Amino acid sequence: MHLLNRQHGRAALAAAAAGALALSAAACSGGDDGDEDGLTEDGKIQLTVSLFGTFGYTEAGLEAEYEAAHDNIDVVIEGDGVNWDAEFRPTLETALETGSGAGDVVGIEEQGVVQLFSDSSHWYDLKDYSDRASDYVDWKWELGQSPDGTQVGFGTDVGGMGMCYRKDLFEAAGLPTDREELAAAWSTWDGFKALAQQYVDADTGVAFLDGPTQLQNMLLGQLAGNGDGEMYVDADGNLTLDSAAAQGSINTILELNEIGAIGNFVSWSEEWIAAQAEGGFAVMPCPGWMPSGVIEPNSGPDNAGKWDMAAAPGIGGNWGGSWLAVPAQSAHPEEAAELAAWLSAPEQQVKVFEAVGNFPSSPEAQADPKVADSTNAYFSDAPTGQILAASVQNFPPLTYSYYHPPVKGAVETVLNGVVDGTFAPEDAFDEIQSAAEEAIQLAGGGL
Amino acid sequence: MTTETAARSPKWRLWASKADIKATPYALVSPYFILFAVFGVFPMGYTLYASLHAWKLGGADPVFVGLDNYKFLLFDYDRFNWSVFNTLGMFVLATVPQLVVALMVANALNKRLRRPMLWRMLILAPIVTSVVAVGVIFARIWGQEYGMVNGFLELVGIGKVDWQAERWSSWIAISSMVDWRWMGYNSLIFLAAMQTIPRNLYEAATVDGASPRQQFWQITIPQLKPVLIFTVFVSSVGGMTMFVEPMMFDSGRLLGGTDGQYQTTAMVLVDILRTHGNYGVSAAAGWLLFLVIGIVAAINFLIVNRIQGNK
Repeated sequence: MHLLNRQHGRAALAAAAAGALALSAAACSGGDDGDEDGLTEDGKIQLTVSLFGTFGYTEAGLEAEYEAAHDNIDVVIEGDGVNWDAEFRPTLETALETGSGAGDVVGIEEQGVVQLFSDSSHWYDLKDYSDRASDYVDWKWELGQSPDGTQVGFGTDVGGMGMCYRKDLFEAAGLPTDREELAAAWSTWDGFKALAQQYVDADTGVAFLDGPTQLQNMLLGQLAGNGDGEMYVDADGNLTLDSAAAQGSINTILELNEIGAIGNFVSWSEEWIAAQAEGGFAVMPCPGWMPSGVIEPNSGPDNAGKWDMAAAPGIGGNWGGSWLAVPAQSAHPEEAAELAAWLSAPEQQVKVFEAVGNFPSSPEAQADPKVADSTNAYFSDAPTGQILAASVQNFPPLTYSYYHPPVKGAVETVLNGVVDGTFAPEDAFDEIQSAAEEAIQLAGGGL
Repeated sequence: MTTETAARSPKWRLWASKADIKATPYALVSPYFILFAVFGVFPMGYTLYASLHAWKLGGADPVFVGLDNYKFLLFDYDRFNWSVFNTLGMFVLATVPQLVVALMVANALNKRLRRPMLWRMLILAPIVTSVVAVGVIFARIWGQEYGMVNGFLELVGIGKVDWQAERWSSWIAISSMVDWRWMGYNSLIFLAAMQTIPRNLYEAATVDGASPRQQFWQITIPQLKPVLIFTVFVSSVGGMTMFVEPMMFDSGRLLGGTDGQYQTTAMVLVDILRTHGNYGVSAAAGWLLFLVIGIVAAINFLIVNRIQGNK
């Protein structure tokens, strides 16, 4: 067994190497913007548009359109489908901090605005390029500013919301299937609970709601927007779990879970996707981009005409929406600002809406007949433009604190745990409290 | 002049040839060690430095806090200790059957088979499969409502199991994924080692009247000892840094179920870094994981080293 010693030595080395690999995972960073001068080989200015999720620019053909109008510009759009919180935000933060690796134009999600726009030295002031305040409702324009008044972002879409439901499953449970009738019946949350009870009593064997996450987000935004604006945590990292919005939303979820109206489909899980094709749940709160961007591809052509969309319960609501910003580190900030302004201009917002359904933030684009009178064929010709526009009308802005994303994650995880039986409903608030405290502690400066 | 040069030349040559003999091997192996220093030693040192500081991405400058980050993980952050438990549990659940089956498969492949190449290729197929695809497929196989396993359980009248909700059930599902991916790799290594065992050992044993089973335990296993140590070692490191399989099982989330039922230490590390942007605590988690791996590897080595054969 003379091999043993050699094996041992090699193994020790392998252990050290593997350990190092595990450690270096903690130090990894993203970004591959290698070209320092920002020019392509044939001397064109290369503008990298770094995005997450679905902005719809590729789908709407805007990349080609812009290049056709500008001979000297090469637009590169990257990051389609990337997760905002898990991948895009950490990578962007690292790139901003190290001063390289961010795109020339970057997408910013509403929940990251306060966090990322707080340091204006990272950003090019778009007011130097053009003052487009008149293109937007006030709050969408103002949320795109840093505390010292730098215009960091041009708004793209807003998250108007509706209720997506399966007519066939509602009918099987004896519920109304007409979208006007439903909107009237669940115009308040008590009305929604009554319909949920009626659905559960019919005992069709199919869940009413998909899971807690979508509804929690709709409720939280709506209650906070119509109330004092407080959600889970304030700007100093103090938990505000006793706020009206946090209490109201969580309690509504717990009540609906109590009567058995919430399915065990974790948002974005394989089961959730399968359930949309199999008819595993009957209703789901959905932001404007969800019907065409998520539900239609997941449900497939076999289910065309079974889905419909109605106005959501309560008054208004907004979930999500984005901005385009130009990092100060860009090699061509002016050209990048021009591109960002063009991409977020009302005409392009309309094209994006037509391509992927992201609802415009510009009132001019919202009023465009292509948006206002739009219907969705897959969703039984529901007037989605009208429903979504009504949901964001006069809706006040929400300010998400720096600590909101980790606390939101903690709350959603506990609620999923209540639904799948890991936590007893009566322990939900205690579990949320301790999970949220840990999240704050980790995200705060203390550690 | 000429005499002096003539006298110096051989001396210089001698020195050069000596240096060649002594230094060249080091020069030839140096690329690995230079890379290892850059991508191994430096990150480890930097991580150690980070782990001793309160260091937030986008926050204030790092502040030295000593061992506070380690203390937080070990005593305040329950998820960390549970994650070590989860990692060890899934490691045992995944590795033991994996190596045993791999050994059996390798032994079978080592016999006379028709089309041996085809079988060996098939055994290797999982390794070249994209891990994301594997994750999606396995998440569907073990799904609660539409999963294949639950469909089968319903057929035989047992009823559905929410595989993600319980610790034991999620461990089984994830271990199945790990086993499926790595069994072939290990059996190929075993197979290669088995083929180097001298045939005359088996012939002599056959003449002495040893049964195939006796031959397997008395000849094959002891002869495989170095390779066994190697595979156990690699599996330990792989098992202790388990990340992709449990993450894919939870659709790419890092929390490992609603209460961290299957959150591994590597997932805690990445979660702290990505969700909370906390370099310091994440780095401390990395070092603690490194220590755990070292301990587990040492224990495994001691256990496997006790395999004895009559040589």
